[in-house]
Amino acid sequence: MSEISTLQGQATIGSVQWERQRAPRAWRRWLRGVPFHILASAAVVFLLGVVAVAAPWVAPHDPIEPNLLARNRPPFWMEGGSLDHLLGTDQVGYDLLSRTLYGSRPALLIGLCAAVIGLVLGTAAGVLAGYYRGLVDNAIMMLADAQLSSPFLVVAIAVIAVLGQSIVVLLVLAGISAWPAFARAVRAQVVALRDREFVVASRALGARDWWLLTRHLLPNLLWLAIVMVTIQLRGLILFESFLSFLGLGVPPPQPSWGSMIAAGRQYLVTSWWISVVPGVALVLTVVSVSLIGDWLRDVLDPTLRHR
Amino acid sequence: MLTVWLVVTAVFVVLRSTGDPVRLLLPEDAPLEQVEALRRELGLDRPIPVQYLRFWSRAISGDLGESLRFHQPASELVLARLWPTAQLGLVAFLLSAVSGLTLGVVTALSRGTAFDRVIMAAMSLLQASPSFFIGIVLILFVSVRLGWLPSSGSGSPRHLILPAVTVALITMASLARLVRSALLEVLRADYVRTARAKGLAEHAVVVRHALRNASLPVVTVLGLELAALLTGTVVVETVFAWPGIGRLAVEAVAVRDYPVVQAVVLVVTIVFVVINFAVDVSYILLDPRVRHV
Repeated sequence: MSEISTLQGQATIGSVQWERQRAPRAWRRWLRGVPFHILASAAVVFLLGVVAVAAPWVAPHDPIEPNLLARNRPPFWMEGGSLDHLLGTDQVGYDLLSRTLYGSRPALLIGLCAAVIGLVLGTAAGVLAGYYRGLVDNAIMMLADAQLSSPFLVVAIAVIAVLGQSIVVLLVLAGISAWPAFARAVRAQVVALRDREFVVASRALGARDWWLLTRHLLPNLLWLAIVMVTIQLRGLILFESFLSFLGLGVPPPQPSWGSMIAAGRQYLVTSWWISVVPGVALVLTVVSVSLIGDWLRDVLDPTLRHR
Repeated sequence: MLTVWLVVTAVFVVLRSTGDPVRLLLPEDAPLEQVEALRRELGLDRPIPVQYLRFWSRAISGDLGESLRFHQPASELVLARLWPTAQLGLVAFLLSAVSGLTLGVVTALSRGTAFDRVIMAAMSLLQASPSFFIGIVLILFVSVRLGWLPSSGSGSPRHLILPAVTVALITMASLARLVRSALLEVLRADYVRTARAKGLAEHAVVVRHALRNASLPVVTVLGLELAALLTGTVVVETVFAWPGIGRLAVEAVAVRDYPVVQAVVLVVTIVFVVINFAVDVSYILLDPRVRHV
């Protein structure tokens, strides 16, 4: 939206100087058009990023240092709670607030890195398929469909059974889980782009494949990539929490929301907060990320809705 | 079929590439003759392609190896756990289909009202919640606070309710959103205006013209939803200690019972492929246009 308004400004006034003064206000106008729940979600995600980076300074306690004298303490507003452990402690005396803050690290790290892995793999596959078509296209799309119709979580469980639990395995598996979605979206976009006038013109002028790819196709895939990463992030964060919940994700005692929720399952009757505190953090994160993703998709490219 | 082949081959490769399974089965200081004997017994002294072919010829005849923990055929173990999972999945699917369709149609017809907004916001929230956490919250309120239903285990229909509702809620949410948007799209179409113009009652317009055409995109996505539902079942089983195939897999992984893990992957993949095939067939039945292509 900001692009359109600045372009119009250039057309009518045509002065660079005017443009430079005008830019911040256009940005503010654009921001005012963003719905409130998206701003709130963005704030949550931003805060989460800050917490993930600054966890050692923000967290009141060491997340893997049990305090055996203070086990199963409730949050501060309940009877028996204290300000020392704001959100209570779990069955071995870990401080839940600190662990929940630290838990944002695997969620974001694995989510983002896996999204990048998926993006790179998927874009490569999608560009190959969409640009060269034919046999390559068929083979790549068949592979993508085969993976999409496979129970990937179960396959992931089997792979982790063999390779053992580690963040790297988790990351690579999550990245692989995401590539077919990227490949499909990118392929569709490349197919649409490759016969557009500017690409045909460039080819008529003698441009090589590499030039076309890097100068004409990839820049036009940038928005798609941003939208897709945001949309996939939701599934990837959930993927990490699923596997951690099953005890196959982030290796203990490192905190992860999924494994924290699992740990509290046996204590629901007496100490419900052990599961609920990390659970609320997880839901808040996933809801924020998916709201932003849906909104970005609708704003930038409504045709993606059914993909 | 390609999916089954790819998945099983991938699992086979991973299983074999990580080294010698015999070393994991025997204690560290086992004498060499014993290692060799077990290797021969399991057929691991043959070249990899031979092992691969043998694995397939056995798998096709139903022999998926023996569980290292229970010393029972892995296929028997998996099949015994398949029924509880199917039970859970079917009940959850029916629940989510009925409630999702109803909510989708009702909200589409009352678009823009406060009711529509509240329901849709709730659906977004549900859709973004991990199933295991929904399960925990349900246990907390329904079992612990109210004491209405058992929190885990199996045996009576009462045990089925909570896990089924947990699995159903997420599928219901995405179905409701999908039905709503598909129906809204169709209600704008020309033939709906024609139907209204010729004086058809509103319910006839919705049921006979709109719903039928709105069902196509819904069925397309239903396959993916069903797959997600089955995956959700696998996780939710652990929450409620439901003796299904998902819990079997998680237990088998914990004790490194590889043949059972392999068997679970094979069976679940086959179920996935069958479901996808069924969805494709129902699509053909619903849309006469596809038949002539």
